Amino acid sequence: MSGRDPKGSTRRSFLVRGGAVGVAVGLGGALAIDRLRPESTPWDDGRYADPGHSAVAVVRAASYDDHLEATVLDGLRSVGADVRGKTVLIKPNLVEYDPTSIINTDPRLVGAAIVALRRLGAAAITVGEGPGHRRDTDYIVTGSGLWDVLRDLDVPFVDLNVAPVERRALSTSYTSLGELWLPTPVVDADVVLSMPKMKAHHWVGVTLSMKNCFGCVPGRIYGWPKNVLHWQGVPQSVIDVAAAVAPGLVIVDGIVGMEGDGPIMGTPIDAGHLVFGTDPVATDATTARLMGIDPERVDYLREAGRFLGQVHLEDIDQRGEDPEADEVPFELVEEFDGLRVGSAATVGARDASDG
Amino acid sequence: MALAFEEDLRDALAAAVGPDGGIGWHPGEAAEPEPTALGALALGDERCVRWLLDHQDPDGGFALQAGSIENVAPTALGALALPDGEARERAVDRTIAAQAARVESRGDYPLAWGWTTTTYSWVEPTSRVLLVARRLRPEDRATIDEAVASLTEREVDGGGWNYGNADVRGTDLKSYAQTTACALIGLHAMDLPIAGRAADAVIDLAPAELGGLSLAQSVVALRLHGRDDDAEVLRSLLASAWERTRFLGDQGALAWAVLATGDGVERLRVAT
Repeated sequence: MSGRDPKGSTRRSFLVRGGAVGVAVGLGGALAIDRLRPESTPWDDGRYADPGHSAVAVVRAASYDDHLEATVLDGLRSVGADVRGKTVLIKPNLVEYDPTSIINTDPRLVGAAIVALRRLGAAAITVGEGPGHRRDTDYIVTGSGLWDVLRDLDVPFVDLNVAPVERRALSTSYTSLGELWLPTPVVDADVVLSMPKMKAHHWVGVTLSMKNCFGCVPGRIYGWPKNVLHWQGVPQSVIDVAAAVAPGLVIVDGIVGMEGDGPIMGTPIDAGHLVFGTDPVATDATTARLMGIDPERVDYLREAGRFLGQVHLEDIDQRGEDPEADEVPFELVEEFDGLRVGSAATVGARDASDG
Repeated sequence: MALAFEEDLRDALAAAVGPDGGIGWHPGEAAEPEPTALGALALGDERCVRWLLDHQDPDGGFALQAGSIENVAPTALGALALPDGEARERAVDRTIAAQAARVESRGDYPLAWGWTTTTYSWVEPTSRVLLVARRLRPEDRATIDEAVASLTEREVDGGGWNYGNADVRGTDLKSYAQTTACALIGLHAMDLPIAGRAADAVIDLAPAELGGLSLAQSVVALRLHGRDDDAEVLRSLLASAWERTRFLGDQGALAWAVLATGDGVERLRVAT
């Protein structure tokens, strides 16, 4: 094999032979569920220092047209975003595109983030996504309007489903994967900016910056719609993937969110907020509170709060608006009624393996 | 003008063939089985075929393997691209053997084929296997019947396919141009109601899904299914998409576009 990827490794070096392919998944699901038990600690202690207090800013934003660049710049500054001289990979949510719905992070917000990052001194900016439900990334990027924004701002786009990949050993073991093969643009970026849409989710209750990292998992290896992750357990995979991608910045698009049967078939809701942070767990926890959801009832957020970031209210330095005072309750599918703040309902189990 | 477009596509794909005969997903990247197999089919380039022969796995496959995860889906394209002979037979064997895992909650259903062997089956990889079986091993009725049964079970109400099931949690899903085109490529020229509805769905959907891969595979599907006039309409949209984004540099989509606009499509046609 003489072909080489940009990192200088041959194909053989990134497509490594493994063993016991056939039996891994059947066992993996059961093992992964055990790892969500509070007595287990499926992470490498040496890799995760106490994050201290995490700053999260909740900012009101009524539309995608009014002073968005200034709003984003203020939001990033308020959480101490440090991108000066750094390369930034922006990861919006383009899991799917439907011209009749609001599935995606709005391209205008992505554009505003690019302008703000440049103002803050970012050395280079790339936008990347590996859509989960479609193989035709060209269609999603042009149909959603993102292509026009990136062309106008002269920012490159990379399809994370078919970009060169590198092995990254996992320092968490909520799944039985042990390693992930992640796109080189993700691994090489100084800062990954996760820009999720504020959405309810029919498998895990809520999808925000951590779940958004599924789009960094290359489809040409893990398949569409990243079905390996579903078989490993969605909450477990959210933690392992987010820990591996390690976003250093988050901007949640909650100007218009999606409630109900998200992340694809839900209903638009005018939520009127953006949420900024440098700790994905804390930012997602605060966003959940804004949505009327108790983050400590969301399996993957509660677990991630044990080592990856802050989930408890008292450990989050809340800036901007008070998420509880500004609460915009999102409708959830019935099984997740128990996630609501103060709910007495229990949360039903979900099987996402056949998505 | 039309000829210039076809030549532009073909020149771009020919330039993508590396010194080792392989093609990467993007210019300058390491070669991989799927774009190389598509390049071999689109260009009829012996260098691509040689690369495939040099990189066939011992089990006959062209899998992408990363640790415990093995994506077997490129194997079907490799089988289609190889010449008659033992290497092709082994690739066909591996393609057919790589069935998906069973989901117990779904009871008795066709297993069909997935991207990886350890998960559920999906429309596109199942359609690839159907094409391989029909073109290269037509006597294998069990494989053909299983693939057709899987596609029939998953057809979206009104025709066409989403990427997997026709519904999720009781909600009907929409059909997509790209996945429907993949299924029609597998089903082409079969005298089945789902094939006819698929052709109609592609014609209906593709003009609104203006990505290079969707349009290229739609044109291929319609040409194979004998709907040349409809294919010609989409061909002009494909030219516009190429002009707009160059398919984001995706050389897999580029190879499909060369198949759509050239003679290579005959390498996918099932004799009737």
